[in-house]
Amino acid sequence: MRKETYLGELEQMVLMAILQLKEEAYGLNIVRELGDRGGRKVSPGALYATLDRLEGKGVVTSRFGDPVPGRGGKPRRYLTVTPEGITALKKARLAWHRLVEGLDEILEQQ
Amino acid sequence: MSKGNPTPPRLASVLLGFCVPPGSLGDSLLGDLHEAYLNRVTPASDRGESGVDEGASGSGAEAAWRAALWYWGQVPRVGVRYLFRRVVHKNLYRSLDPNPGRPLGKPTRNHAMTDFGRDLRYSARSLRRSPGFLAASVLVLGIGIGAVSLMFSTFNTVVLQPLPFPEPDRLVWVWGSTESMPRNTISYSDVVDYRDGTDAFESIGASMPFLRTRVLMGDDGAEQVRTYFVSANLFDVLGASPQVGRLFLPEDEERGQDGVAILSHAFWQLRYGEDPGVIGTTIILDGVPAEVVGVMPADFVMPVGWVYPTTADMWFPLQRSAGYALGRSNNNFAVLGRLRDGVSLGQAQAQMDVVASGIAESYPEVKGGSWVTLMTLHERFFGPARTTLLILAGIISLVPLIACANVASLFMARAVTRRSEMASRLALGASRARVIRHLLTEGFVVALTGGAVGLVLAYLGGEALRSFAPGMLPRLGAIAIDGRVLAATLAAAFVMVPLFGLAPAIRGTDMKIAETLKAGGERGGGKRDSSFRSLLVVAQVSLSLMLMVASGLFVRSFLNLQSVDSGFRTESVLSLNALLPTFKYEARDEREQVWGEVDRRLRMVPGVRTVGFVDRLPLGAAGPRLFVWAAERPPASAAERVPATRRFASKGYFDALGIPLLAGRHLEEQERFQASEARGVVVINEALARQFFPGEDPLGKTLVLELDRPVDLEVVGVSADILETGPGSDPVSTFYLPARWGYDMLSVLLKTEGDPLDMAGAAREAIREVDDDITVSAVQTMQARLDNTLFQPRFRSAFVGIFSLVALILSSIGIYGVLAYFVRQHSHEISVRLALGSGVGGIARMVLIRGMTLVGVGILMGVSGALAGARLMQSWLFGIGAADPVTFVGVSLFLATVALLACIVPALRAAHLDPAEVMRAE
Repeated sequence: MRKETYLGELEQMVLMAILQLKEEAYGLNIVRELGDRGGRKVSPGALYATLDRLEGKGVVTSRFGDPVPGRGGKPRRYLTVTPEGITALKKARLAWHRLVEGLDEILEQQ
Repeated sequence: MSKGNPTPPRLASVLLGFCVPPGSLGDSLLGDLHEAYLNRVTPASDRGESGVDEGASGSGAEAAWRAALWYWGQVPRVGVRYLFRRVVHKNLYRSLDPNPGRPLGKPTRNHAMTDFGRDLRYSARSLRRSPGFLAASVLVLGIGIGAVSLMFSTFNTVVLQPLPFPEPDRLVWVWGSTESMPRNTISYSDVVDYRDGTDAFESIGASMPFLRTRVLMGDDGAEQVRTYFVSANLFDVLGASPQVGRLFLPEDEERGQDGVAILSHAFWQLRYGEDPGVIGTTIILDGVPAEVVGVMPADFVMPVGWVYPTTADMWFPLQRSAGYALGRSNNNFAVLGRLRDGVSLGQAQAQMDVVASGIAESYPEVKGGSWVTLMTLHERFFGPARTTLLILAGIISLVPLIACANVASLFMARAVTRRSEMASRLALGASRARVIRHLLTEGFVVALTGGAVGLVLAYLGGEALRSFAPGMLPRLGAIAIDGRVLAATLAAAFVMVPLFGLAPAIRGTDMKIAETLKAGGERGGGKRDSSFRSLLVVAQVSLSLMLMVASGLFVRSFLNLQSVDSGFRTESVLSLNALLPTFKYEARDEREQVWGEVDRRLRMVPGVRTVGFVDRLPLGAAGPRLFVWAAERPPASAAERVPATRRFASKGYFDALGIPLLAGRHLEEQERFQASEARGVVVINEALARQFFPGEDPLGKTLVLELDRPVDLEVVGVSADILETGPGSDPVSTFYLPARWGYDMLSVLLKTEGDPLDMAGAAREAIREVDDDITVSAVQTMQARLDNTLFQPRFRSAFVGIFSLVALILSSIGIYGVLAYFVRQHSHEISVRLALGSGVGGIARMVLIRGMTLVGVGILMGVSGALAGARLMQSWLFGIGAADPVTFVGVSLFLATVALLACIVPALRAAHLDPAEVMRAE
């Protein structure tokens, strides 16, 4: 019986970025996606730490592509969200919606 | 940089590569960073594929270094983070497998162990299985590290430790300087002027650095005590506080006579059993009462006098009105000052220079051409020691290098025997870096163990130094293993690991895996391993030669010194110091009478042939130097005055020591020297005759001696030069005045029949018969005094000699090891040759030639190294040059002979290989 998997804020954003990028979700792209869409500047180091954590939690998997000449002949690590990851994201979204109920006025008063 | 293919900074890449996990995971990380770097260097328009524009802007060069800077920034952020996480969460990355598509499980984080921990256990196990190797390498490393440890702890205690005073770097020593005497004392009048004329110092103190031995009267008789005069504020300048009682007050300097005394802790302990009641009591010295006002703590050291630490029993406040403190030319005082906060030594020197030139102008006859030299107190006492130790350290540092080469050879041999094991690990996917890291961990274990052994050896060495060489360096008694020494030892062990471990580890993992597995491992030795080990042997031989040359030079210097004729005979001569209780004999006549009686009684002792008196024995401190000149050639100015050494000596002095008289006559007993009269007679030595009466007969000429006023002395005799300060010194201009019977202390020389020490008791008795209160001390033979002056050179030879012997042994073992290995590797070829009829002699010769070639190359290299380095030691050498051919040739031959012996056993083994057995074994 799996324990509850809770996702931190950055972890949620990373998962969503991966989903957005579909087939092209690898390190650098995720950084860009987080920056462009999420307005969040993440350093590669922080991202890799997060990815490793997510992989450890079982919410993403990775696979290695072929060596790419443009990057010193090194492969890219492509990430995919697992079904458990989708479930966790759904849960997080649900929680967020429940907690934000009735707070529209406050949140829109910026 | 080529625009076509910019690459990230190589060093940063290597560092990152070292930190990230192995395999595709790490590769993908590096690739991402590489890609990001490219994006920063090349603007998006130049890039073919659609990529991220990371803000490449500005000119090409600017973008390039910005990108490089960013890339370097990833080393700490990504690299260190990964390194840390890998060390802590080893299994996390184990489970992130490079295989694509595999579902991942949750990582188990139960193990507290790390990569490093696992390596340690593995190494310990594997080393335990090779006890011989472990013992040999630990011992050799222990010797190498022990040498480092010993040198560092000596250096640490003798030079690095600060002086035991508050803010010791603000304490400054002041020398009075002239052209002829750069380090001299100054007069009290000068001290007052410096005090008044500068504000760079918080306080300036003074002391008379000349030991005054006084007689303390007590219930159990008279006792000699060592005393010094100091200014009342000197304790304050040092920042010292008394253990009991008080320090001197300014008014204590104006009592007219001693009045008060401060005791040292040792004296207080010995004489008064640490009774605080001694404060306020009165003691009698030379008949003069003084009140004890204070006692200094046990760790207090008074840094006056000529050596550090100066042992004293008590201190007295100098008296401003006393004779020694009056007169501009009475240079009796050494000065110690404490700088004001924020004032530098240079600023103080500048201020003192102004005052000094003022003094020189105002008193040209006595102070013309004088100035002052300032240095920190530490420099004054430990400056020379620092140089000594640095040179010794340089020589001794060859030992750890030899040890490293030796152990590297051992590790190399071991690496070869483990080739199949390494090959399997590499085949199973371990990266080469990983395996090398493991091998280095093994080296680390050996180094740490060797370090522990080294510490023990260093401690023993320190104890040995202390017992055999107490006078060699200041503070030698205090050498101990403290935190700093431990840290240095650890650092030495760490540094040595790559030195001996890296090359064997790299070589041991450099192989075509399949080949190695096929060959079964051990035979894959190959030529390259052999050459590497040969290189190590050459290194060991050359370093050993350098050490041995140093040792040889020291030994020859010492032997030369021993054979020097000092100009006087030391056989069958006893010396002692006798001190009259001056309160009993105040008048000059009375003292003369007493000395005369002492003389008479000593002559009557059976076995005593000659009795001589002198104020200062040879082979001791040089003593006072006074300005003299030939009457016909007075110096043009005060700056041109030249000093000579003064001695008070009786005729018996010359007879007892066998100093020949070259011209004229000796001094008569009744020709006393009276300073009050303006004339007298004098005997001069050859050196003085050469210097002041060149090319003429000095007999009958007048030598002018400068005291408060000039005194004319008629030269009545010329004596042969003697080396006053022992072999290794040059004769110094000396003039002899008739023994000053008015002195209270004289050294007595007795020429005896038979062993002089047998006369010691009788001599004491004879003196006691004259007066019970005459104290006798420092009874020893002149031969013993002579031996003492040779102490330092003897010690140096022994010290370096021991290390060079160790080095020789290590190298010999290294040579033997390499040749034995060579024979083993080529046992097949050798047995084939033997089977085909090659003579035993031929085989042995082949092995010998191989071995001796290595030795020969090593000797050549060692000789050039020694030639370069020996020059630094020149000041310690006597009678030979640093490039002394006899030493170099002798040492080389000796080394070659020993090496030859080391080669013989493997050569003979090779020659007696049983071909049949060898073939069978394959």
